[in-house]
Amino acid sequence: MELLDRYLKQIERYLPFKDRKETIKELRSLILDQVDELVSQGLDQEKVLFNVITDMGEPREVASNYNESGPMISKEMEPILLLVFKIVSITLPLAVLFANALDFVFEYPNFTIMEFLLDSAYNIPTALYSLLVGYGFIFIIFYLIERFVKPKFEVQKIEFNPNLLPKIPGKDFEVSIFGAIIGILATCLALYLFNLNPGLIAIYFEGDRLPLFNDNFDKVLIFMNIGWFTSIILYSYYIYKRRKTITSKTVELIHTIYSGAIMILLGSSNVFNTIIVEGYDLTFIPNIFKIVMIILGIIVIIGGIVEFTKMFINLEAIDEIEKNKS
Amino acid sequence: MPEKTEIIKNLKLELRKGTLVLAVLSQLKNKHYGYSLVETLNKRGLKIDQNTLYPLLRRLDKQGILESTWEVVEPRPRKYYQLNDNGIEILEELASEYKSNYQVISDLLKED
Repeated sequence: MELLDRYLKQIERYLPFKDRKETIKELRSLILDQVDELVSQGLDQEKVLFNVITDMGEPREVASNYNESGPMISKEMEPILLLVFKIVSITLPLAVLFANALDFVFEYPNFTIMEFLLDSAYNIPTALYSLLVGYGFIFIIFYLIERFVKPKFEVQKIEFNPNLLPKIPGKDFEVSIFGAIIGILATCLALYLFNLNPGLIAIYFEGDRLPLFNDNFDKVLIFMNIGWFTSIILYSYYIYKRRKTITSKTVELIHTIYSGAIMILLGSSNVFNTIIVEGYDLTFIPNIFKIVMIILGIIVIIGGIVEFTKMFINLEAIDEIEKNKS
Repeated sequence: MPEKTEIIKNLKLELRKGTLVLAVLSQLKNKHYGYSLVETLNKRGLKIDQNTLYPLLRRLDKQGILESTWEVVEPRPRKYYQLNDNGIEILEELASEYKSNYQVISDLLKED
């Protein structure tokens, strides 16, 4: 019956959000009805289930019948779109960073390596931004092609084999799509706020805006950008794969320790403006911030390590190990 | 150029599409769950793909023609569908439309 779970999980992936659970519940009941019927004729249950699933067909195909308006990008076009996305994901940020690097080199001929690296890191948000805009344009172009040109492709039919359905990820390897999307949005917001409008983080007092951070903050910001950039890549990978792997969990651990270290760095360096508001003693704000940052940093690091070691407690859940066993 | 068999296949599909809803509605005067409906239709000579029927039931239910209820009958919960008053009226209307169409088309085909 594990095969049924795996099958339904894949169908669920492609179903419209609305009534998703209900559809899966009904499909499960319907498939089992059919299995029971054949088993009562004296056939082997596992074999029957395998055949019923094979007859029913590819998960995406099954799910597409529940989608009244049809997909925005057809099944035939999708691999091409994904390929273009992949190419753009690699080339566009590199091109932007390269262009910025060229610009920097010509503008400051006597640069040091450190200055060059810092400038490159500083341009990561621009590269990311251009990537998002790029994705948007590509998607619109593909959608328009789909809508008005309606290209037809001869696609080689690959026989659907239920045995190749991905396994259900163990508890520690589950991905919350909602969480990942929120994560990306929050990271983008942080990138925007801290890089493009750092002045907004301030104390607002009687119509005055007193920025909280001083120039030292810019130096730490570069390291924060690298961290944010990594987390966007990680979240995107999770949305695409819908599961974690040992490798991604390791990257997650490194990323968490890195983030914790940055928090401690923020807490222990002098990144605040001395804010003077007549009549009020505001020195407590930076002080509280420093303490909170250091404590948070330590908690984040410990949490990350605990999260990482947890998966080794329940070894059964690790797909890769199971695969090696069989 | 698509092959002749391909053309016939597509046209047959189109021809079938409209009548399928009528066939399904006709059987839903009685209460059915998905699989029992497939079986009933099969026995009466109408082969219907599950991947067509189940989403179709869903759609008709959403349109407010059917009444659906989850019932726990051993060994598992099943979703039952049946025509509601609205559905019965619609079925009658569609059936008479189909019959008059059938008459007209039969006459047209006889002329040749």
